[in-house]
Amino acid sequence: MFEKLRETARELLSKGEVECVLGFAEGTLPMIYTPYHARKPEEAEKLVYGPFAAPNIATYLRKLKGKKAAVIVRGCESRTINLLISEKQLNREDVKIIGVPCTGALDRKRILKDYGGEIREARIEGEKVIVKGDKGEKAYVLEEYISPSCKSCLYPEAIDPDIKIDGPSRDGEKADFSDIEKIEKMSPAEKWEFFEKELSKCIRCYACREICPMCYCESCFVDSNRPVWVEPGFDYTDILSFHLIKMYHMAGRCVDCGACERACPLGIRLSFLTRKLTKDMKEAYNFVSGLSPEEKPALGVFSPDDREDFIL
Amino acid sequence: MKKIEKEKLLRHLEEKGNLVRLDRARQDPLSVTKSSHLPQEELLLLFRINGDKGVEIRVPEGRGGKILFGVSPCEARAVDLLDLTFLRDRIDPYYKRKREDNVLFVLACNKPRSTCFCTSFGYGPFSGKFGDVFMVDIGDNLLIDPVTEKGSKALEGLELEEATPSDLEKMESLKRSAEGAITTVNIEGISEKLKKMFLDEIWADLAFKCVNCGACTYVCPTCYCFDIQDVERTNWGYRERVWDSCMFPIYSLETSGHNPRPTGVERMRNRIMHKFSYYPELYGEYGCVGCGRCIRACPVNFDIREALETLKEVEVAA
Repeated sequence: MFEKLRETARELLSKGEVECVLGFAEGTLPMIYTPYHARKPEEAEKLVYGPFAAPNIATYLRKLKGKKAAVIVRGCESRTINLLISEKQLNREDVKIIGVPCTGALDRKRILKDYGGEIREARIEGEKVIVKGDKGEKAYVLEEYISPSCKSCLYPEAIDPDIKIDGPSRDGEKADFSDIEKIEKMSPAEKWEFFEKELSKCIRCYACREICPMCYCESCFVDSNRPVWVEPGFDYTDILSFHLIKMYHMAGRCVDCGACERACPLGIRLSFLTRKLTKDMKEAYNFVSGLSPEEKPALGVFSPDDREDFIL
Repeated sequence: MKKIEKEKLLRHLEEKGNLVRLDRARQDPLSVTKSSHLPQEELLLLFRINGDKGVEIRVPEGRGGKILFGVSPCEARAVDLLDLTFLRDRIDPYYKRKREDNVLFVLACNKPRSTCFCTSFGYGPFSGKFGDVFMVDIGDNLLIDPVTEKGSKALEGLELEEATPSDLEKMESLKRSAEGAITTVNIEGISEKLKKMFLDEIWADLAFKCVNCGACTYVCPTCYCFDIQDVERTNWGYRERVWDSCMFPIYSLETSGHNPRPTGVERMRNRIMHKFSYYPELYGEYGCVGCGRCIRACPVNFDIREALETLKEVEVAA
């Protein structure tokens, strides 16, 4: 099923058009694809794409600075590339964008939890994930187990790719924010409790920060010890500060790929925050981040008719 | 070996003190056994400016020990490895107190996970030499064997039956099936080889997928790196110890601004070198127990088993 992609990658590499093709390869565990860059034509055989790819591959472009690379992207990843270009982190001419279809990224932790045993094998069959392990074989409907961020995805397909691999993708028109609306309707006390329950699990490993393609700062505010913005330790105030300040930095810059949530070893639902950002930006400014590399960052421009009703 | 009904033993331990059950659910991703000895955040001392009297310092008292019931052999072995750092050349009083107060009831691992590779390190899911008491769940009963004096003391007052040959047979069969389910990585000679590989180009390849978060180090039962910080308030404050991770850029950042491990490549190299070269060199033991936690927690599927295989295949000049 990956033949078209592999053929494309092989050709780009053998003609020397690019130094590497960045994407995913099979991982060592079930339901995991691992980031991979093919550097020789024969390595193109390893490239895969699909729901088992959890990170946002654009994160790895910073490791390939100065190299001509082709990158295999889904909708969110292509929008990230646009953002990186608009923020001068990437030159458009350095990347060749290969768009692949996307049916959403799998919420792997939820399958692991629901299966309840040790999964030793998994494969995708049509619209199902078939897993095998010590509790026997079970099938899960993919649509029910994709990341929450993917459920509210507005642009599942890559925007303006140089090369497009065809296949069935999600429908961006069907983006569903109903669970975010439910949280919006909560009272402040209920919201506080809801977020505390999620975020107090945080161990501050910063997997969410490191996996984020837009968290590219050389030094992060949480790491600063002069002055100390966020104290060490596990006081909830500090944990909350980290996550909320991170979100402030993300407004209009987050493509809501959900990679942070999938990266969290504790399974914290970070998409409640990222999806609210996406929803607010769309409602308040009719802005969707990363639609074009020419677009200025939402919070980097001022217009006299910007709405102000949220200013206290 | 002796045997006892599980409920009877639990009742006995409940009366004895602070019982922490680790046998009911898989201990994932964090190791409770590690954090019971080296908490993620630990208060070291409190200080206060008391008028003209100057600074008053108070060291908190211990909170008493816990009985950790159902520790897996790998985690108990990991505590033995922590001892090398905190009790061998320098004694860390905070660690020592917890180590002395806690009692470890180790439960043989009947159902290893697909990520387990403990048998690579010269022990296995049924190794009975770690912790204070060794137990095997044979279904209707627990087979039980004290390992240390502290363990024997914890069992005092209990009537233990002698295990029958059929009980032991059951244990042997469980052991065979558990060991059979584990993939061993042959790491023979790796520590010597790594010594010659510090400048090898393979590290850049290995580190490519790693994004340098701290997940692997925080879930690791043998990773012990910490940071000590003073938290200041108006006229008082406290000193605390918190986990730190060699994966973070500020871990090795020096005051001058120089960072000897400037990129993820050097940081990844350090994590592997520490466990598979420096630890054996210092202590004669690997700093990894093969529990597979880091493999399961990694957001990008960095698999330490695969990394070891790759390192083994690299050709180095003699």
